[in-house]
Amino acid sequence: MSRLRPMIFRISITLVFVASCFIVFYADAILIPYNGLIGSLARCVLDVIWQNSSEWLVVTATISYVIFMCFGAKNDGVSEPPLINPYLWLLACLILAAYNLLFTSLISIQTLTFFWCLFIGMAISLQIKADGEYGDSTIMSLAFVLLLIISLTISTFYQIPKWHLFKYRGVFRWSGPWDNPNLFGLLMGTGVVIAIGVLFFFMSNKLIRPVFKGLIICLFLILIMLMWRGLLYSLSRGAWVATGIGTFYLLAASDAKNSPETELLISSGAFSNHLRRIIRAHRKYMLMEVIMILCVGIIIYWNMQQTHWHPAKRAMSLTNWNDFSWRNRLLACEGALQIMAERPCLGVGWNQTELIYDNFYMPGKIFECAAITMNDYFILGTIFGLPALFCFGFYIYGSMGNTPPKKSQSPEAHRLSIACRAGVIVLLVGFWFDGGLFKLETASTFWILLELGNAETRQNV
Amino acid sequence: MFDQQNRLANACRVRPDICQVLVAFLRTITEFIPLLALLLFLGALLWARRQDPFSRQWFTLKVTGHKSIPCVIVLSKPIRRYPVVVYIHRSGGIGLTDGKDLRQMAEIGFATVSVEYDQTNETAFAAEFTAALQYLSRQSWVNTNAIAWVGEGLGSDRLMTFARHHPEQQPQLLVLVGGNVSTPSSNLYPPTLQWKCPLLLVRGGQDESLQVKDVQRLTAVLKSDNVPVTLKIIAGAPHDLAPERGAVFRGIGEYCLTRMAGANTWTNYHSIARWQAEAPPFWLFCLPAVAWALGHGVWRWRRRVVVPEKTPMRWYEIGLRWLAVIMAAWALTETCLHLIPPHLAVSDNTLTIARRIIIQPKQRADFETLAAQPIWAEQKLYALLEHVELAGYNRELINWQPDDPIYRDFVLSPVITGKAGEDFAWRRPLWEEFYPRIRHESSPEDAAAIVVRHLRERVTIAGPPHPAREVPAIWLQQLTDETGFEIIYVAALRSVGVPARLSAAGQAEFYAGGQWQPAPRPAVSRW
Repeated sequence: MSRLRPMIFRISITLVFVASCFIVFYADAILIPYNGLIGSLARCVLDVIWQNSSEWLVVTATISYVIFMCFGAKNDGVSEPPLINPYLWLLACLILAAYNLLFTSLISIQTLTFFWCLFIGMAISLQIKADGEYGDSTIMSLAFVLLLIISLTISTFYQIPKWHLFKYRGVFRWSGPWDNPNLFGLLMGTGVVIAIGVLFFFMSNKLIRPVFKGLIICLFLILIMLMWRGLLYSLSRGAWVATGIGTFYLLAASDAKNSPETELLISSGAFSNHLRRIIRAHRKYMLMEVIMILCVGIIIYWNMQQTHWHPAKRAMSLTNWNDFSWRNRLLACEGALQIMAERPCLGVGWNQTELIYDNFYMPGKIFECAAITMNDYFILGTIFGLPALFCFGFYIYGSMGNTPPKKSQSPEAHRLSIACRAGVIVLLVGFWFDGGLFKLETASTFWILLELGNAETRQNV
Repeated sequence: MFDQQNRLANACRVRPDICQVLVAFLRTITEFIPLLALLLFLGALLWARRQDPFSRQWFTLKVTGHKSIPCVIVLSKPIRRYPVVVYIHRSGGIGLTDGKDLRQMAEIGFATVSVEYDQTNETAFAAEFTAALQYLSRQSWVNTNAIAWVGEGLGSDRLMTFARHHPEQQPQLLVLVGGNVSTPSSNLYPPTLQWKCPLLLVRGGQDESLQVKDVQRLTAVLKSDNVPVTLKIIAGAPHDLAPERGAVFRGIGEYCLTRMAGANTWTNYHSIARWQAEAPPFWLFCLPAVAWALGHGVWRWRRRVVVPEKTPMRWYEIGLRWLAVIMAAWALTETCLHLIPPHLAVSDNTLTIARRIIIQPKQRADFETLAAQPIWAEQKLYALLEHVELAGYNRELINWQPDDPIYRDFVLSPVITGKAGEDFAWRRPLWEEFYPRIRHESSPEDAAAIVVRHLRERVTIAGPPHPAREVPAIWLQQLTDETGFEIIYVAALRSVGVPARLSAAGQAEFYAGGQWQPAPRPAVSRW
């Protein structure tokens, strides 16, 4: 009984968290408002999340969590210099964001989404830490990751063209239950990469019987194919690039794990170390591999200009000088840089970027200002100013690439951590092209995965 | 950098805690990727700032006895001594939404200032506006002898009242856009005897709040009272002047500058398009990042572990290398064949290469038509290709389809005036500017109306000493006379797929509904 009670407590807490994440993940989906009970529940969640009066509550709670992560939580006895602690950078960023909030008269969904999603990520991180007190926290992380994969796979079946607003050359772009194909593509890309990572996790697990292992592999291959199909037909170029980079990281990190000569390096889980290792392992053929991949790309490019296959056409449009989609984003980046150059310290404040860009910085040749909202890093820089942007950058770099080595981590936990980090990389790259840090679905996924990746590497398992 | 770290490490013996932190921090940020990203970002930041044709200043003015008022100033670069436009927005407006109007006037060469004011408290305006004028009088970039006030709606009423009660502070020019100043009950009527500044009244022809005839009557009264007043009615525009707002504010800027700066106004005009064209390229600002990457690469290469013995290559390694070489040669050849010929002069050889490799089958007929014209002597091949590709691409996108002969002669053809040495390099800049605006239109008539509106927002019609008559030059200078405007108008229409030509009288006309008709005229031509 004495062992059962904590177990029940852990399971119920996990279930509450999983249910909360599930609801937040789908709350803003386009189909939800039309469904009876689930729709009502989702609307309630949205009302709570986007209620203006809850703003300072969630800001305070989030900052408290981060302060606790900074100073309260001990990480397996490894003492870090304060400036290397990524949570310290996050705290500085949040303080600047909160300071900015003091001068914002208009409270928006943007503000609330940012803080709520960060709050969820921090809460899960703390829960996993607390869970680790009882023993292995990998199960809870795995539960979150599996739930995410299954949710994303289910999302691929929601393809109703009449609700889709985005077309490419007359063809509907898949959006799943959401209203934006770029968002859908990014989530699918994240799902694909995480699913591959979890597949590696199961394959390397020696406790699973071969028969079950085979079943799991088949199941995961089906899930990956379904999500990959969604990714392809979202026709989201940013998501494709992000998925490619995330997959590269995942393969590099997973492949490097098998090499005994760099076992010590890999055990640190450091991003830069993984890259170094993959380069070392492939040094002999690296140049040729790169040359051949480049050559194949160039030859395909020059000979497939007339293709009628829409995904290929869409990919080719990356080099199309007449494509306003990416060119407007470039011009918007220029405008965002100009805003940051003129308001470097504290930015323009919450909700002002689009308005100020439209009125004061938008070049005459473009007449739609929405492109500036596509790059989250520039949005952060313009809202909070350069110091906050740098703090955010250091937090991400510290979380992803500068984690101190830990020797006690199990290989399984490490693989799960790599999978989460690969998902985070997909989202980080996607935030550059299409945004998502201020959208409920992608932001919640991002913070949860980031904290899961962090928690796994930091947890004394 | 690494010496610095060593020095810091030595210093740690003295203050171990702080120094340990500093060394660790320094190590983190001087790692290859963070520093590269930082250098690239800072380079991009500097480049964007250099590319920006405007400088904006946000500040808050303290007003004695009233609450502080936020203001914004837009200056065109380079910073110099400017004539100034003080802009007071309409009811419900805020400084953050004044930017487009301010930039339109700043483009002409003004320092433009938007002053917020308490819209509910009329008595506070005098104190607020006086504080703004006092602030401006202290700025070194203000030409105090050339100040115009521009008010819109409620702002124009407030300005009018202020000017009546403070005749000693009246500006060189007062522009009133909309507002109730022309109603008999307004403060303007009858004008004060001390009135001295010229007035420009701007009204929408479809202004629902006031009849045009009332404004005309008021103008006549003012003229009879020896008040120098000019009335401009914007045909078809409503009270808020949308969608002609951009052109109207450019027109106001041109009017103010012409009245205040005299006859040589346009001699030294420097457009923002030219400013941006003269800005240094982005790669210059990337040099520090490139230097860091190269330096880091060299450092790593010098520190590499040298393998003492060379192991002989196996057969598959040799095969792999040969495969890589063959593929590289193939890719290089394809790339050269696509990229080099366009930069060569038009000749039989380059045309043959273009026909066989560069031109897509669906564009061949257009290419042959254009290549057969005797206008390409000493022109680069890419000029021809650009017209063929862009006109063809645009034709696929637009919602109306002219017949082939009309399309080839009056859309595809770059010849507008037919004069020797005509510059044909206009299609891409004009298409990029105008196509996004007309892409949802379903008829050439609608597209033409949008084109002329935006063209007028970008190009000033004036009488410079040597007006540009070539389309690329006009676009760069953003200044021409009436003849030049008609030429660039035809080019702009063709760039978006509307068949257009110059009529016998030199006016732009376009083809729609099976006949040639005069193209829509700009709402603001030359004030």
